[in-house]
Amino acid sequence: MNTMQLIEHAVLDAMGMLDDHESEAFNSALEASPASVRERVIAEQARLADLQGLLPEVSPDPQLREKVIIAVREAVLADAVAKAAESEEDDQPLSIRKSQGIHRGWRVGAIAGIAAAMAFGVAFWQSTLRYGDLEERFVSNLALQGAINAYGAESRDVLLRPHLVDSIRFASSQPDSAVEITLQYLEEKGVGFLNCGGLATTDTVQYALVELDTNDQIGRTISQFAATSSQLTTQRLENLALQSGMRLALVSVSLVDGTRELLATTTVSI
Amino acid sequence: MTKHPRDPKADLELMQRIASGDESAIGDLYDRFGSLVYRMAYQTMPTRADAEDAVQEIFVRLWKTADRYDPKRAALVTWVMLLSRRHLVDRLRRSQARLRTTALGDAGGQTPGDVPSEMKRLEQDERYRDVLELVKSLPELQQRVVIRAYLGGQTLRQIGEELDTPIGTVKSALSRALVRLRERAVEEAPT
Repeated sequence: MNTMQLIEHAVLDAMGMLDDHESEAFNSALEASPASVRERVIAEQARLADLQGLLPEVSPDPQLREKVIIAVREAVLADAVAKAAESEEDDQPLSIRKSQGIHRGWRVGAIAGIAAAMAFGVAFWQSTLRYGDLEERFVSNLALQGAINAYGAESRDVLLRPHLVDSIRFASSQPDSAVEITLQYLEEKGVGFLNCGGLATTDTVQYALVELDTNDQIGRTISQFAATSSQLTTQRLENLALQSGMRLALVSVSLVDGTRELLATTTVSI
Repeated sequence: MTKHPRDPKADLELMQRIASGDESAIGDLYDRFGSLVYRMAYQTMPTRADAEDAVQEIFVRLWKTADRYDPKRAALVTWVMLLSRRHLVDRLRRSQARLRTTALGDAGGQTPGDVPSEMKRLEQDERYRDVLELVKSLPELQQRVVIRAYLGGQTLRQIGEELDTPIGTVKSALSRALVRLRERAVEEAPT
């Protein structure tokens, strides 16, 4: 290409009018041109790219900013999940941490990790959404996908839209208890995630989230479930309607004699 | 109109923050260029909702390609505009949302009177009013090419085929048209 052709293509490139092949050819020709020509073409392209004078004077909706930030977060997640999935397909240690040899079993642990972040109210993305960190931590992206698969699409809200989530912590009713309970509540969807750490997994005991009455006596049962892991058990709660002031408790339920024992309580504040 | 004075150091720092994954940087990038990108999208996309979707996609693209930004090659505002325009044209082509394809197709090289009638129709849309005022001042071939390429999202090859014109001629016509449009826009911009 001669200089005029380069400038012509630079203009078309600036306007997005070249297809990928043409754009590549133009850039190759530009790279191969003498420095003085290249500078002239680049300057011309920069000058012509600025067509702000032709743009309408309109303003975006103020909410667009948040939508953009969420879109970027989701794209970062999608990329990371895709990377993790590729590694899964290859049945190899995650490529992003090859040198440290992270294996499938460790990735399974990651699911617990992300769920734990949910459980204990860690605003995961607020504090860790750094692309590099994501890769460093391997991480959590596969785990996030696992959380979405396991607990439904709303778990994405818990991670990506923490401002929509009320995180309700329970206080243990017994001294030296290892039980840790957090309920994450998406009011607008009527969905909650009850995250329980330190529950014993036996065939004879289940657990129940119950409402306490005004005398702190066990009232209606909201959900009863078996612990799937002593590390972390997450229970998705549907049609949940919480109000400030409600008293909730997690109780153990003996399947042998039906006795119920208070493990942790909380007063809802949303 | 929002101005974006060049500050190469600040440009580079911002893009380095984005490339390193600093989440707050995407908010800063939006604060700086959100309005500009939205105005470009609003002008190009068929609806406001499409424009908003396009803006989100563009910022995702900016985020993902931040490490490719070369301050020696262009000011950040230029790079943002280049990338945005490419994305918008791609999107327009992908979605087949070519600006009133039928109308353009009807006008495609049929009679010399078609371009003015198409312009008249487009003038009813405020998004295109200022642009079309400038387009009107171009020679007819340039008008046809600009409307199809810039507002209609057609490829150069498609335009050449529709107008039965060699692609080299289409390229030259479009390039000259864009140069002229830019010059006129500068002349008419309020000082």
